[in-house]
Amino acid sequence: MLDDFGVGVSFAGDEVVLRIQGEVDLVTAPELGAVIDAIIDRGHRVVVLDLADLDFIDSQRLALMARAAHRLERECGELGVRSPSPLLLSLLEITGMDALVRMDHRASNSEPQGPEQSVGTPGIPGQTRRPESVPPASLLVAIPARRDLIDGALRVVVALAQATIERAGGTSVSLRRHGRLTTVAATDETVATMDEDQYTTGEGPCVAASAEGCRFEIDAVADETRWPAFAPRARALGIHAILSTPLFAQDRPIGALNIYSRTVGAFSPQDVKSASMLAAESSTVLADAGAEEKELTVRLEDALRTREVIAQAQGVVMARDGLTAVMSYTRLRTMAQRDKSSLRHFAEEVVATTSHHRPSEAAHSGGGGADA
Amino acid sequence: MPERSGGMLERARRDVGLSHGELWLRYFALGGMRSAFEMEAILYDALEPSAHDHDVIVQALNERFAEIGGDHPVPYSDNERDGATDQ
Repeated sequence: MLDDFGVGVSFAGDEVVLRIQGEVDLVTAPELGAVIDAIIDRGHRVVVLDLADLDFIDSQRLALMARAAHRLERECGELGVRSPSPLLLSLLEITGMDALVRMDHRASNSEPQGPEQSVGTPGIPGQTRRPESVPPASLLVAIPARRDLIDGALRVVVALAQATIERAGGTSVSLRRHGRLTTVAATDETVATMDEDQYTTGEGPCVAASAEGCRFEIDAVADETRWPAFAPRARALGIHAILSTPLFAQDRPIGALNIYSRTVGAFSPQDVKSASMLAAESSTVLADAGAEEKELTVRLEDALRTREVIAQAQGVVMARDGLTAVMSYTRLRTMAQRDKSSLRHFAEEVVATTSHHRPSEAAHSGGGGADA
Repeated sequence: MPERSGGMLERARRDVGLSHGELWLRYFALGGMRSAFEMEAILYDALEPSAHDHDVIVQALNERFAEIGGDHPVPYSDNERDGATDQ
C-alpha cells in the first residue's frame, strides 16, 4: 500500500524533503500525516514539502500542513514549502498558511539531495549526514493577516505602558514573524536598538520572555550575569533596568512587551502588574486576530465543497449529455441562471437527483438536471 | 493601493463591493484555476483569459449581483451563442 503512496523522501541533515506526488485522497492524507509525525518523532526539525507535482490541494491536506507546521513550531523547527503552483500559492496566502510556513525558493530537484527512501514505516535514519547548507531551525508562528490593525493596537499598548509606568525610559513590543523576532512598535530609536541587540546576540530578557513565556526582569544591568553578550550593550546605551513580559497567541508565547529604564531598580510591584495587564490586553488582540484567520479557513473549506459539488454535477452532465467539461459547465450555469439559483445550489440539486436514480435511469433522465 | 481604472470586470467588482481576495475565493469556489494574481491581471485587462475563465469570473460577479438584487448584469463570453456551442 505504501508503495502507491507517492511520496519521495530525501534527507539532508536536519532537513527532510517530502516530494508529494499524485492525489492525496481521503485514505492517504492521514498516512501522509503519520509519515510527517514519524519524521518529527525521529528528531528532524526542518521538514520541507515539495509540491512541484501538485497543482491543487484540498482542505484535508491544508489542515495537515497546518498541523505539521504547528507541531514543528512548538518543537523549535519549521515547515517549508517548495515549488507551489501559483494557484496553490494563492490558497496558502488566502488561508494565512503562508505566514505559518517558510517558502523554500530553491527549485525542486528531481535528483534527491540525500539518500532517498520509500516511505515505509521503518527506515527513517536517526543519524544523517550534516550537509553544508541547512537553514537554521527557527520558530514560526501564524501571525494574523490584518497586520496593520494589529500593529496599530500594539502601538497603543506601547504608548499606554510608557504613560503608566513612571520610570519607563522607553517601551517596545517584539513579535515573532516569519521565524524571527521583530520590533513592531517602539517609543524611540534607543529602544529599537536595544531590541535589535537582543535579536542579534540571541539573548536578553526580551528574547527569553518570547521563547519561554515567562517574565524576565533585570534590576541592575551592571550586576547582570545571565546575558553576557547583551548586558554590556545595554549599559553602553545608558539602560540600567529592563522588564520583559511575554505575549501569547493561542497559548503560545510569540513575543514580549519590553520596558527599558535608565534608573537602577526602576520597577515597582505595581509596575510589574501594569505591564502584565497590558501584555494580557495585547494577547487578546492577537488571539482575536487569530480567530479571524480561522474564519477564513472555514470559508475556504466551504469554497472547496462548492468546487467539489460543481465538479460532480459537471461529471453528471458530461456523462448524460455527452458534453465536454467546459460545455457542461456552461450548460449548468445557464440553467442555474434560468432557475434563479446559484451554481452551487443548482449543482447540488443535479447531484442529489442523480444519486436517487440508478445509473441506468440517470442516463435516460434527459432534460439536464432541472427536473430535480 | 492607488485606484486604477481597470476593465469591465474590475468595474463590476467595485460595483458589488467585493475585495480582490473575496472575489478570488468566490471564483475559486466556482471552479476557477487561475491564481489570485492572475485573476487580478485579468480584471485589469493585463492578461487575456480563456472564454471559460472569463465566464467563471463573470459567474462569481453575477452571483454577487444576484445576492444584492441584480439579475446577471455582467455579460458572459457566449451571450450571442447558445451555451452548448462553447468550445
